Formats: sequence, C-alpha cells, structure tokens
Amino acid sequence: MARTELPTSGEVEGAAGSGEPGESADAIAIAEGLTAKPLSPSLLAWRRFRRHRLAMVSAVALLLIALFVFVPGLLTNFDQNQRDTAGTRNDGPSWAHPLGTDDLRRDVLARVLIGGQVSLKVGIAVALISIVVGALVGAFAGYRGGLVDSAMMRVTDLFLAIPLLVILIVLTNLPARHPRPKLWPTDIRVPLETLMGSKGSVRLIVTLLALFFWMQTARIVRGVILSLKEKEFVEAARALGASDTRILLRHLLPNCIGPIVVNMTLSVAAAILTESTLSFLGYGVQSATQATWGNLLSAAKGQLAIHAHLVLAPGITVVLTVLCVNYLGDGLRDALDPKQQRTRA
Amino acid sequence: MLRYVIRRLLWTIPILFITSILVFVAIKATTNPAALRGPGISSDDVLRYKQQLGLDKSGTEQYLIWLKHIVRGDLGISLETRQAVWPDLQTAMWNTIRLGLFAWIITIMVGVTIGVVSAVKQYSWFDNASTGTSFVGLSVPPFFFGLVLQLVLVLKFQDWFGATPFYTSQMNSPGQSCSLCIDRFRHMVLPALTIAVQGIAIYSRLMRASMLDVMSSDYMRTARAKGISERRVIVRHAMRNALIPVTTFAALDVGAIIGGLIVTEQVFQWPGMGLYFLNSFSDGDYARVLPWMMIVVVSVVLFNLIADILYGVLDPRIRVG
Repeated sequence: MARTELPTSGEVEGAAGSGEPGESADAIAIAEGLTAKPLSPSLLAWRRFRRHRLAMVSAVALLLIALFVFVPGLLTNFDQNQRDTAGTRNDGPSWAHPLGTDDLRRDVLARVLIGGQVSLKVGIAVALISIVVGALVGAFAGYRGGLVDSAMMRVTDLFLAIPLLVILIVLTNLPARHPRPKLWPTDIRVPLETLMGSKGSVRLIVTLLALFFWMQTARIVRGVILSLKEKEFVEAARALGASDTRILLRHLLPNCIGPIVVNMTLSVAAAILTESTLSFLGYGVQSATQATWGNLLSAAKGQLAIHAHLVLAPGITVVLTVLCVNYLGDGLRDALDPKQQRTRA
Repeated sequence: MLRYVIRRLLWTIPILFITSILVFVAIKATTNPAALRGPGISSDDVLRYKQQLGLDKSGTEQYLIWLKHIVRGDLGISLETRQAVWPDLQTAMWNTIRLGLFAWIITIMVGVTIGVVSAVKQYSWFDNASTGTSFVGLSVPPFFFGLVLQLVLVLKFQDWFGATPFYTSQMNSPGQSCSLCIDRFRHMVLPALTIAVQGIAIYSRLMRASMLDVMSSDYMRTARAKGISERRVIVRHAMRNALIPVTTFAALDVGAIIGGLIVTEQVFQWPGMGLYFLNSFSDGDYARVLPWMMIVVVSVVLFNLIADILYGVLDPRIRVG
C-alpha cells in the first residue's frame, strides 16, 4: 500500500466524480501487475475506488451519519418524544437545542437523528431484500429464458404503466382494509397485517418498497446474464460437468457483482427518497410515535414562513445522506465496473 | 413499419385490459365508500347505500359493469359530490398538462444544452461542475426543493426586497382567471422549476453520454476530414444522432406527466391531477379514483407506443419487421 502510484493523466485531471478515463486505471493495473506480484481483483477495485475522492469522502460521511443516527446520545441528551418543559416552543438554534425546538418543545436534533434511523433502516432493508430477490429472479430468468423470462418482463412492463408513488399510496391502505382477504384459502388464518405490517408502520413501508424495487435489479441482472451465458467460460464449466445451479451461483452471479452492488447503492438512495416522499404525503410512517425525515418535513411545511429551521434541518439531512449514497455508488461503479466507464453518463 | 405499428397497437389492448383489472381490484380493496357517510351511520343505512351503489353484487359483476361504462366513455358519478366526474377531472387534467409541458420544455432545453456542452468540452471545468451538480439534482427530494424555493424566492425575497415576483400556491391570484398571462406565468415558475430540476440532471447525463458515444464514431472523423466547420460537425452530425435516444426518453416523459406531478402539486397546491388523486383517495371516493387511474394508464401506454414508433422512425437500424 505504501508504494507510490504511477502518476497518470487521469490523476491530474480527475476531479468531482466525473470519472477518469478508463485507460489510465487499466494502465495502472497493467503496469503494476508487471512490476510486482499479481494483484487481486479486489485490491485493484479498492485502488480504483480510492482514486474517486468524492466517493471516499462520502463513505466517511455516511459512516459518521450512521454513527450519530444510531447513537444519538453522542450529540443530544433528548429523546425524540421528550418535551423540554423549560424551553420555548419553536425556538431557533441554541446551546441546549442546536437545531432548535418544535411546536411541542421537542428537540429537533434528537428528532432528526432518531428519525434517520427509520430512513436508514428502510433504505438498507429494501436494498438488501430487492438485491437478493432481484438477483435470483433475474439470474434465473436470464439463464433459463422461456416462460419465466417473458412472464417477468411482462409483469414489470405492466407495473410501469402506473406511477410507483400511486401504487404505493394505494397499497398502504391494504392491510387495514383487508385483514383477511377473501381470496385466501380458508386454512390460512394469518391476518395480512402480520405479513406486511400495519398501516403507518416501518415494516409496511419496507414490504411495499421491496415489492417493487426488486424488479429493477432483476432486469439489470437478467441483461448481464444474457450477455454472459454464451461466453466460453460457461461452456467450459458445462463441459466439465458443472450443474446449472453451480454455473449460476459460482460462475455467472459473481460476474454480476459490479452491477449488483452499484444497483444496491442506487436502491438505498431511491428507497430513502421514496420513504420520505410517502411520509411527506402522510402515507408513510405515522409521526405520532416515530419521527422520520419525511414526516418531520410534512409537519413543518405549514410553518415555513415563521420557523424555517423545522423544514431545513430534516431536509438538508436527507439531501446530504442521499447525495453521499449516490457519490458512493458512483465510486463503486468506477471500482467494480471499470469497463462501463467509457460510455456511462 | 406499418405492420410494426399495428402489432404494437394491438398489443396495447391486452395490456390495458389487464391493468384495468389490477386497478379495479386494488382501488376497491383499499377504499371504503361507507366512510363517506360519516361515523354515525346505522347498519341499515350502510346496506341501503351499498345496494344503491351496486356493491352487493359480486366483484366480477361490478367490474364488468364498470368496464362497460368506461369503454363507452362514461366515467361515472362521484360518490361524494354526486356529480359527474369528467368535468372536474378534465379541468385537473388541463391544469396538469399546462404545468407539466412547461416544466418539460424547460427540462429538455436546459438538460440537452448542458449535456452537449459537457460532451464537447469533456473534462473541462464546466463538465466536471455539471456532472457534480447533477448528483445534487438527483439527491434532492422534489418536495424539499419546492419548499426551499418557496422559502428563498418568496418568503425571504419579500423580506429582503419588499416584494416578490413569484407565488407559493394556486394557479392565479384571487380574482384573476387568465391562462395565458403574466400572472399565471408567475404562479407557474416555481412548481415548474421543482419538476425540472431532477429532469435536467437526468437529461444532461443522458445527452452527454449519447454525445460522447456519437462523437467517437467514424463518420465524425470523415465529416471533419471533409473540411466541414467544427460547429457544423457538432450541430448537424453529432447532435442530430445523439438526440435519438433522448427523444424517446422525452416522449416517455410526456406520458408520465399526467400522473407524475403529485408531490409538486401538493407542495404548491396546484389544482391538477395529483391533488385530485390525493383528495379523492383520502376521501375513499373510488368513483373518482378509478377514472383517474385509467386516464393515467392510457396516457403512459400511449406514449410508450409513440416512443417505440419514434425510435423506429428516427433510427432505421432498429426498425423491426
């Protein structure tokens, strides 16, 4: 690690996440590969990642955000629902309350931090579920083709016709209206709420978002698998007697790791944004029990004229978090998917 | 080409049919028309009310009745106001189309310009700055951007300069109802900007990538070798071809306008389709939500078709039998 890197044109020019020319990264890889012991792909990826300065900064910033959000005690002594009876309503920033107080004398900093727990949990949970489901379905559809493939593509086509936000808003009402759907076999006695989560709960939001986010991943993985499955190494594996499952899991899926990881960061960003939008419109997590960035903004929007800090505090936090996730995704794309660099936007 | 168009047109019929079933089931399962009658309603009244609305019939029957009406163009009567749905829906639709198209034009013009300049001057300060900024554009939730615009350009602006050229809500000032005048324009700027900001980020990246792709092709070298001026090479040879993928994207976006401005309309209280949906769905008025849904679906499917056809017309390489 201490070895100095070869200065390249990419290093001089490369700024602001614009992506350096792919040639320079490859040139380093080749040059270093020749001079010393062979470097593992992951080490090469790490080197490419490190060269994306904004992504490195974002990774550190995200770790800090996660730390403060999950250990709010580091920054504030208040709880999200605790009212500071000694303080004043809708107070601006002060020493006791760095981001001020809201209309119930609650500490805004505490509410923003603890609200962030929901946003981050939703983002990560949705991304993980949709990645696992999407990768498996996409890989199967791409590898096998046929009925599964066309069925999947048709279903995703179908859902594209209705705006995602509308579907989500409509479905948030489902468990409350239909505890036991009529169409279910009578021996299933589990209410829908235990499966999906009840209205206004975090789990319902995660379930609903995951239900629609996996399709995007599946489409991407399917595309990669389609282009890979005719390659020689797959033929070689098959000639050696490898089973379909083994080819899929050991040979094809590891080759999709780049697009999968990049897509996962994008899913985290999209899930955080969608959750906050749903909460803002009043169809997300209920604000009475649990603060989230979205419902904090929703509650504050009427007071924009007089108490702007109530809007700015959660809003800027969302923007910073999502921005960091997006930059991180860009860095990961450079690191894991160097071939894509030359044509990407 | 004609055969392709006809085949695609026929394909939309099953798509519309299946989505209509999905939409009907989903909306019926998530709205409660009895809630409209208030909490003190007796169970007899509920029964009578349900009979009146035909809710005592089976689900399939209800669907078929509804389908028959909607295919004939009869969108039905609101449960809440007891008035025909179409007049209100039509007004909402036009309001949304006005705002959406205005925002769409801003998006395309600014986005494409930034993309072209970024690609022509690749790795310049402008390119780096616009790529960096596009990440910010993609990371700001539209509702927050709208609120910030209201805060800075209206509320703070008023404090600083005494007056502001913009408004935070509605389509016209009280007492005015013009549609092509400066008052409407001043109401439309902020919501349009809110819609445009994400689009500009997306289009500038798309256009940049597409331009870079085209500019690395052989005929660009040929064009330059012929001695054509650089300006003409870029405008006539590169841009024209680079715009093809962007055009299809833009066509898809027009189809998405009708159902896609929910958040912005909520923030700016713009009386369009988005507010219409939010209000009628929270009222549990499925008779207003269902036609809304079908209009949105038809719009998306229609412009999907247009985008596909456009792609074939503009790029002969992709033309399918």
